[in-house]
Amino acid sequence: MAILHPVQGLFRRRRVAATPMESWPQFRGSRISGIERRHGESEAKAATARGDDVIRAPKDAGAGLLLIEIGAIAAWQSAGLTAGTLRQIGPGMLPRFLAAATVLLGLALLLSAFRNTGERLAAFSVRGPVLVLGAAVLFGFAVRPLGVAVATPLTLILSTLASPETRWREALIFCAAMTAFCLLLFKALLGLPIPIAPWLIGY
Amino acid sequence: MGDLITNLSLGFATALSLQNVAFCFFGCLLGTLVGVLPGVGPIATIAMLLPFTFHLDPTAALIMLAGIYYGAQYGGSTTAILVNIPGEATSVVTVLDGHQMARQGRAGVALGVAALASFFAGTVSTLVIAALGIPLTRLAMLFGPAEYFSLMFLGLAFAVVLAHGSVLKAIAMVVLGVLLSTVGTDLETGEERLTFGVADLSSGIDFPVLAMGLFGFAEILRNLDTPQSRDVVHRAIGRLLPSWRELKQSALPILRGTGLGAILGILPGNGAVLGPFASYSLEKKIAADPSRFGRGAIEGVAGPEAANNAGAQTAFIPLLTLGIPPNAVMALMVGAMTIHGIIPGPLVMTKRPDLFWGMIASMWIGNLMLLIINLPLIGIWVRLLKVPYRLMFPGILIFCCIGIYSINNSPTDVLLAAAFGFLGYCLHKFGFEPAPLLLAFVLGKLLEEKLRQALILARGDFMTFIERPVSGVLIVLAVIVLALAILPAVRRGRQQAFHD
Repeated sequence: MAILHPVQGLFRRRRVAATPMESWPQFRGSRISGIERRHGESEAKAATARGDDVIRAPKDAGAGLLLIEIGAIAAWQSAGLTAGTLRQIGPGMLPRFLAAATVLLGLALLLSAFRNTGERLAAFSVRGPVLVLGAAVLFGFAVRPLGVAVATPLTLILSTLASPETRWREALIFCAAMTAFCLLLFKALLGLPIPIAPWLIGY
Repeated sequence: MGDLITNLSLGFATALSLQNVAFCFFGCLLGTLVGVLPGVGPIATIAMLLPFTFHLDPTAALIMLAGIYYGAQYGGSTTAILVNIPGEATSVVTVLDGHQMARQGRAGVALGVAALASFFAGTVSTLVIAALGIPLTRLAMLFGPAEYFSLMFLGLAFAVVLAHGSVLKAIAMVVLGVLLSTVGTDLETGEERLTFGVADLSSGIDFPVLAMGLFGFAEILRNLDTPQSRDVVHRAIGRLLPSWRELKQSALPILRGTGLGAILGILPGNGAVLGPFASYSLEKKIAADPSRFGRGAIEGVAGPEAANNAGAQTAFIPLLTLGIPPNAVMALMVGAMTIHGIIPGPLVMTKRPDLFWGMIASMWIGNLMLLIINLPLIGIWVRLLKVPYRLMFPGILIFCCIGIYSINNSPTDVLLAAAFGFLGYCLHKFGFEPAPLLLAFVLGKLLEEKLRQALILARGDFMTFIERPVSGVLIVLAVIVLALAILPAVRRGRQQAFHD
């Protein structure tokens, strides 16, 4: 399935192999043709990698690397904890065991990616995640100092940009209506203790 | 038997109070809405609404959340029949024959049979829950830490087997879920674990934060990646009530579907998902003319729909009696209960009988409501199907944000949820299914606690899990289940079952 965002579509036409994965250090220098980049290929063909590639199952390889990374972070974080004995298990025993298990599972997936042919990695889009998660982060930073009355429309406007189908006028009307609805629902009806506009009305 | 009647009447008395009926109705309506709207799942909705149930009475909150859950099952079949998109994972099978019926101008009959089948299955499984509740609770009283550990282990083993795709990846999700549950202050020593020195993490990761990030946010990102083309049936919906002949045709499939669904639903680790598949293949196998299936056979809608609803409801049994959630939605219900200071498990029935039986009774009332609201409101649901996603996702996003913030009044939680949203997106891209992670996360704390207790009792002897008979049986079952999943023959069958 070639899933493409407009932004990436532009990218790909210009330079053949400019998928975000390649900017990952792990992939640099190795020959990965498994990541989707051929245009005009039939869907069925694009779904699985070719048998003669070095990494035959790019999706599994990525999955393995992700697990190894998470496991390594967990191992580093639990290094200082006492493991205890089986008779009296300490706080570090389970996290360390799980971290090791995560790394091992990651390694197994990574190795299997060299041996078994599997699915290609669908391209990561940039626009959606950056704008949607960015909008959530913006809300997190704005809600205390600016209040919900300001943070809500800001978040809404930023997030509507994530969809290529957005129409300006419709989006603006929607944001205004949604903000009013949220204030009514959460403050007036549910009475949640959320700041409305501290800089203006003090709460 | 007398007990059952007294208990059920207590339940109905609780559930029929004006407030609880109102919340039940609201939950069912919302659930149907969620089921109908593509791209909004029940997990995300329940996660989204969790923080808002803080201020409600616990019984009302749980009744509403349960209503959302089975309402979504109903709504899911509506989209399956009318749009050819399964609204929920469990209505995948309904698409096959339901949409064909709609194309032949029999959409109304398909919807009607689906609603009747669901109602029948809902009624039967409400009775099953009520009947099995007491004996299972007694059984739970005999459980020590070792048995609890083994039971949860079995549940996670089932979750691995029943997840889609690679077994290795499903195991990884379970491990990761338990790992995330260890974040925060250690129960016994008070040491901080895996907190990166962040003060907000010392109380652990809040369940709604993880659920909303992994499901709410990540679902938006996923849907933005795959613009859906919707194939809404434009033909007339036609009469809703099936004819006598059609009813006779579907009666036995409904019965068989209810039985299958109810049994599979009790299995730990999301057995309910299997119900519709099992029912469909059974009906196809015993049909006089199997070639009718896939071309609008009414049995192919009636059986799976019954199984779907029966499983959705009997899935409450392990949660209410043993305190162990069998799937991600039930894990959310645990979250809702703990928010209100109720520890799910065998004690709920004795300590809060009104809550326990009220919830069970409300399920039947909810099913009746669904039958009443769903059929006349079909027209509205069809119109709702046309709401564009570009307007839906900012709304979902802001609801999630306000919800997460209001749990602890903590802006950090919103940032954390965004991080989990990104993790969820990556997991999806790499072919992981996050539902087992959520289940493992909820079970994780209890799992560790019981493991430690059991080992202290056994003086550090791991054999205790195998030597104690009940625990040993559960562990052996788990090992068999896992071994079967890894065997290539079964693996092929499993993939086929999910892809058929």
